[in-house]
Amino acid sequence: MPVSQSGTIARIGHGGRFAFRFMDPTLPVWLGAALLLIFLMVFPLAAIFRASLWDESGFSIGRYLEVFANEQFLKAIWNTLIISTWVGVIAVVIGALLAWLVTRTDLPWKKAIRALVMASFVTPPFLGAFAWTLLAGPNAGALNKFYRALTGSEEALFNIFTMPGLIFVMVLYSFPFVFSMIANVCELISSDLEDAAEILGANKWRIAWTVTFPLALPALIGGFILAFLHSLSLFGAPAILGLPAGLHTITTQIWALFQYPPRLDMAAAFSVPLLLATMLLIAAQKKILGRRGYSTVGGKGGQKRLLRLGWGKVPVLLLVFAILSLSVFLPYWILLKAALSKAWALPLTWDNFSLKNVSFAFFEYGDTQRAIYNTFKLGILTATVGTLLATLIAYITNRNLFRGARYLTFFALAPLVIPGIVLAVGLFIVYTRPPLVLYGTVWILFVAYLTKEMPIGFSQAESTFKSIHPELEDASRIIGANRLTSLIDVTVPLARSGLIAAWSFIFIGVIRELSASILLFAPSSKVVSVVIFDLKEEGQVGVIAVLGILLLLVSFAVILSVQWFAGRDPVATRE
Amino acid sequence: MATVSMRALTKRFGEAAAVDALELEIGDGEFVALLGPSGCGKTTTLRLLAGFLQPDGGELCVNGEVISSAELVVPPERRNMSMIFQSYAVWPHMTVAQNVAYGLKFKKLSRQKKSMLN
Repeated sequence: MPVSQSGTIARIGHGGRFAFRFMDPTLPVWLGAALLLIFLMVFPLAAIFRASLWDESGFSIGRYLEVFANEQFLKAIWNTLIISTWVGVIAVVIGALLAWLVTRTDLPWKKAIRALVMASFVTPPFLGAFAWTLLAGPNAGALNKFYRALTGSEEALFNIFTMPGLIFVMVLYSFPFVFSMIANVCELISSDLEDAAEILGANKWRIAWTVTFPLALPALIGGFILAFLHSLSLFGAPAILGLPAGLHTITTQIWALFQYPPRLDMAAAFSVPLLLATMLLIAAQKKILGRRGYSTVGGKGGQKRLLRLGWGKVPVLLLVFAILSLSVFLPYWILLKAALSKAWALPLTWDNFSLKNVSFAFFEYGDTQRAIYNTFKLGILTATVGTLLATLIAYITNRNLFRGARYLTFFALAPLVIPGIVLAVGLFIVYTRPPLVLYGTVWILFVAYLTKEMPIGFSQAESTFKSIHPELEDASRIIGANRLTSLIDVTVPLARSGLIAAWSFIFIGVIRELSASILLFAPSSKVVSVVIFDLKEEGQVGVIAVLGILLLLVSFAVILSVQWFAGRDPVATRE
Repeated sequence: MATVSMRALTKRFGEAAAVDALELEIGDGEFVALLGPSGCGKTTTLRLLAGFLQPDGGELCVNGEVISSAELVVPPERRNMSMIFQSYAVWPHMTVAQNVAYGLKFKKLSRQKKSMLN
């Protein structure tokens, strides 16, 4: 029970310091973080709308008319819709199947399967696309050569430079999103619900169709939208696989509008439909998943029995590893081979083995050293500042520090609806002119990454804070610590694991970023992903493979150290 | 020493009034217990008193001075009060000694006194 211990309250109150004692001295920190966030989000978006609607001669919707009258642009929109729809559907089928197998059946090697799905998740799609050009290019592709040797045919079995090829590769790097979403839901559906149906006399298939499937349906639709959105905003894969075939998507078209002579205003006008489409889809997804309340039935009573696969175990396991070999084993194998051989298309024999590519990439090729430096500098910087900002914002919204605080959630999550390339168009417009010219430096990339990675950092910090009882912090305040001190002394140490995870997500997101970097880099501020994209033009297969493997290795190292740390964290493992 | 008085103190969560125009005078040295079924507003009253919640109406005074009202709230760390929480709120990332010593940091105790406690 609270007791006032002395008369100090009365004493502080006298003598004209009335206003001061009511004011939270840490308020400037919270307001500063909130304003920074709002600036980050509002500037680029405002710039896009402005540039698409105004020019020297004033307001006009002419550019929008031009976009929607131009057959090439319409074709790009149409291509994007077809590709993304297919990617969404196939990714849901594969992602849901794997998620169900891993969570609801007695399939062996679940940990390995999860780790491989994680590996697909971490692989930058542009790198996967590049690896698949080596595997299934019509002429020199390894799989096609194998097929020809096997059958004596002159034909190629696969041509990755086609729309189905592009869809195929995008599926490989989109299904992990669906997987994690559905796996979460599958973990939550209690077997009791299925048992209830069984008691009423339904058979296995009927139960699956009338109970399990409807319960999972919102997550399936949500997963579709997620995969659809992901493929909508990809730039690297369509640029690598689509452009050689003359296949434009919205993102590659925006990029093309930036090539000489640049048409910024058109790029802005063309970005708006993409922006509106993603906004609509996210709204739809929220609505669909928002109704999930009835379906997940809480984590309570979580009796979960695993379906016995019986004799089906082996074929199912083979199928699973076949899928994962498409996204992980084959691409990694060909990258490794390309990195370590003189000629990537020849078998990796001792004669063909060489570290030339490695030394060339790290020591001889001028662009790469600087790019590696830039990439990791930006990764560490963005992850650190981003985690800090996300922590402050998540704290503000979680504890509802001031009126309207919860609207900050909207700003923090806004980049989810902004494809990277659209964000880049906005930032390009804002920071190529006074008052703040950042273009030409790494700082414009820093701003882009900070903005783009805010949702992941924020949601991670937010969910971590939710799991920490606010009384732990109240207890520190009642004995005299202000909000900021409490946050630093109590909440942040308790949230350590979650915040380190946020840091690493941002870091990995940054070092693989291509779609915003491709519009914002300058010769002195190239990053690894951009160098890979450039080298692609020059056909420097071995160097690309070396850089790609570097990105992968660093990403895995970061993930493993986070897991190691979380496993040892006494606070995090307590629950 | 101190007296506490609550005048028409009110706190609403949405439509529901958790504390509805509470009148309470606690004299110096008095020992008071709030009893009642769950949800009747005991915790809310304590959290209002400690400054974690801002009232929607009424006033809360200590020694005749308003420290909580619908307009202004003195933050908990400036109230020089103490409170034991329902969940005990023992900080799991600190040792027992650190838990005990943490509060002293803010009481401006001399280093000597602190090390005595350690």
